[in-house]
Amino acid sequence: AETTLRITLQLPLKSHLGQNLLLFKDKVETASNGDIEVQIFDSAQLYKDKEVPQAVGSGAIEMGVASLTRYVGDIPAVDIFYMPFLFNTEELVREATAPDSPVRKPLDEAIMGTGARVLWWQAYGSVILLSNGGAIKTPADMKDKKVRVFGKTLGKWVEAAGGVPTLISGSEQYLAYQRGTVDIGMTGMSGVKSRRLWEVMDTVTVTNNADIEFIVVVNEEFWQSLPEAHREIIATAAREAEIAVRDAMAEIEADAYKDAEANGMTVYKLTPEEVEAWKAAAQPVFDSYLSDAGALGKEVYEAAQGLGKGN
Amino acid sequence: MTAWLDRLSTWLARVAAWLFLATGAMLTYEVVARYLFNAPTVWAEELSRLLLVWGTYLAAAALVRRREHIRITLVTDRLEAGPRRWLEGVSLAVVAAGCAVAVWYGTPIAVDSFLRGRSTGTMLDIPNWWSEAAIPVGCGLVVLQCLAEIARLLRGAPAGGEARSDMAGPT
Amino acid sequence: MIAAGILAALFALLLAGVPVAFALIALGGALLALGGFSPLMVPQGLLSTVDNFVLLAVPLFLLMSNVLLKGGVGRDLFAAVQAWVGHWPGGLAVATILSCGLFAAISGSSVATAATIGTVAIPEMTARGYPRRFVLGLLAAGGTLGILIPPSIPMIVYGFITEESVLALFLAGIGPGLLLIVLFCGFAMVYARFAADYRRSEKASWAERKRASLRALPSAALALVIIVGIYRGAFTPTEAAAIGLALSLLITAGLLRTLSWADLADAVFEAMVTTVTILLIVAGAKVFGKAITLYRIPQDISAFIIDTVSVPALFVLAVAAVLVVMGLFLEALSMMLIMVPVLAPSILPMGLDPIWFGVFFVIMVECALITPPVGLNLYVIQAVGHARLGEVAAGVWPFLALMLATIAICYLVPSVVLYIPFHL
Ligand code: NA
Ligand code: NA
Repeated sequence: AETTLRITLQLPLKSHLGQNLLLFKDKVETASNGDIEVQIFDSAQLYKDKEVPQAVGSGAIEMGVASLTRYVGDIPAVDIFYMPFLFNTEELVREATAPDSPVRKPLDEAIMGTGARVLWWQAYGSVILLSNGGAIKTPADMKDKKVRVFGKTLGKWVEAAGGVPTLISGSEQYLAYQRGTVDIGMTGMSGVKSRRLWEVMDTVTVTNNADIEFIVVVNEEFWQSLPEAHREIIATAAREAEIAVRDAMAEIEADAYKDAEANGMTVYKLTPEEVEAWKAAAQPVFDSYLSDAGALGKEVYEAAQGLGKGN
Repeated sequence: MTAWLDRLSTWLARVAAWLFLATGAMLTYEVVARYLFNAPTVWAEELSRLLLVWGTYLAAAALVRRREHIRITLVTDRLEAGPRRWLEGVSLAVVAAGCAVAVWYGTPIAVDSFLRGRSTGTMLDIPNWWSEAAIPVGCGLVVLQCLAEIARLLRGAPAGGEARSDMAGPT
Repeated sequence: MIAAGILAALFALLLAGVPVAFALIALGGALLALGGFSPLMVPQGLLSTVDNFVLLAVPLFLLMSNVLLKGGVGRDLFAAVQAWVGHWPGGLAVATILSCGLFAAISGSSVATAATIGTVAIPEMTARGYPRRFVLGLLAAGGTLGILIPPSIPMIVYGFITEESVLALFLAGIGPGLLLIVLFCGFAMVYARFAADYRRSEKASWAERKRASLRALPSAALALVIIVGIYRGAFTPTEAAAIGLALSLLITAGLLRTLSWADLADAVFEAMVTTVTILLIVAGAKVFGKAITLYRIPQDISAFIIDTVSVPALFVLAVAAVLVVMGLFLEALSMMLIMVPVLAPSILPMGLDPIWFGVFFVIMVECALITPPVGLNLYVIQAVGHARLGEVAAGVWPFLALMLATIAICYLVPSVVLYIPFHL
């Protein structure tokens, strides 16, 4: 092959993000008649999620998959997707993550400043809460409880709601729930299924309080060194992969809910009043976002406010 | 010059040792804060990781001087003094070469983060270069220490460097 | 072909006496450069490895066990256990094994366990007429309990490499650890029954038992706090290590008053030395691991294994055979760091539980620690017992056989490993 694209991925190949990369690989290799070879290094063999922005930006590797909010140290505005209940329906998420959306586009441009071009976004689903012996319906149910979080903004939200945020890594989640290191779990619905968390938690509260997005990035210098025809092939495959994973996500989550219920979990959906109570308690998170995330933060926040108006 | 370097690296190793003890204090406080006051800190986890990074790389050079880095002496123990010194020189050169790569490529990483103002984006949100600088600094010290050791061997010092402290083993 | 060349280069560097950590870094860097990959991976790997909360448990557990060591806790534990079981047939040997097991519960290292208990038990046992080879072999092997019974530094490292739960690994080591203690004790008692020329210890008086037990009580309680704390999920392994360190300082400096300021400074410095040597090897292995991953070596080996070996038992047997041979020559932790990334992709497709495999691997590391010519526990016991390496090595074979038997039992009855973490 003339060109080799190496992609680093934190998750295993069998995860839906890994499968999505396989789809991309297939399309690129077919369309280029083998001129472009795609090599996927899954399961963090090369880089963990948190190292990916630096690794791709510096050109240590051509491509990588990172969770969007990993860029928060460089671009605080990306945390817009972790703002409590801002994108809590599939429609809002789809609108916000469309390539031309006023929420996504400025973020993609800002990420370009780190030396990495965003090729496509991979949907990962929404954040939900896990608990034992009853749903977490309102902030009152979270008061003084230890809550598993991943990242600063989710921690701030838990604090604002009266809970005690506790950092637990993905791999320690199962035992942390089983042994009660934390009282309330927090993860994406596909994580509940892959880690069989129904063995240790009995209730899912469908908060959809945050939207988890992964982005596939390519080193910009490397990108510019590619022939125009190759860039075309890659961009087309990327767009196809993006649509595929976005469309599959709803089904993946629906399946995960079905499996969770089949394994004895109770799934609780918040009422509109309960959502309002959560939103009211979350105001401090928005305030600190707006003060930290600068002009870009303000821009995407206002754009987000304009979504879902059915225009 | 070499004596001055020895003093510096030994002193840094002592500092490193107490840094590790400090991580113990931080995390003990963290557990106490979480269970007794239901108020975990935002700094304990990240600061203790930062100390671990600096402690490890600051101490690396002193351990080169003391020949404490784990190695297999099966062959070298059976050699005459002459070939043994020669092989030790080669071995130190390999150490220096590996660390030189880390210095050469690690420096721009830290400098770039510093210039861009990149931070961890975690609870504590500290600048990335705080930890990234540990690699070029620590590995740079190792390179210098290796050169000093090679110079000593060339001046006729026996293989084995400064006497090892004891047989503290890893596993 | 490339894989064989890389392995040969690595062995050449290691046998030439290049420190393991730097042999891995230098070879990894060279491979990256030769393969046209970015050498940026060298500093990136060195930083990301050590910048890790899981590995923070390494210095903390080492500090804890060093503090206890300097505070004379090993001697106290041994005295207490001996007061209770010393007069049994083979009682002193049993007391030694139990002391190793107890100390293992507060130390994450085999070498520390062997050295601590060896210092007090070897003179005592040889004075009672136990054959020297048996004594030395028993201590070398008993010391390896240090990494099977939690806490365990190799388990922390395994959890780090494979992203598996360190907590689950710790809990999984308890069953096989107890099994190994039972087997060792059984062997010691049978051995004593047929060995003619040793003198039984006198039965200790109740006053003596009480005195010795009271003195050992705080340390035994510490072991219990750590295990129960981990088991109940009160803290993560790293936090358990921090709490353990704080309590060990409280016990030795406050309660027993056996830890001087100079002792503490020594303990802190020695823990640092061991920590740095370990973490640099882990970091070096990361750099080397990235390089061979880019050459697709682990992926190809894994594909080869899955294609050729269809039965899990055969896979385990083959891995065990390879590890026994590698363990003869390689430092034990390095063996784990080099081999686990290569084998990890095959574990799940082979239908093996990653936690089970971790415990299996730790027992293989234990074997490597006591097989000549390269075996750290042999060296330690050699030094502590003022013996020749050959004497120690001659004494470890029966214990080695028992360890391999433990692996067989764990394979046939996986619940020995998996019941405590996942069903208790
Ligand atoms: Na242990
Ligand atoms: Na060995």
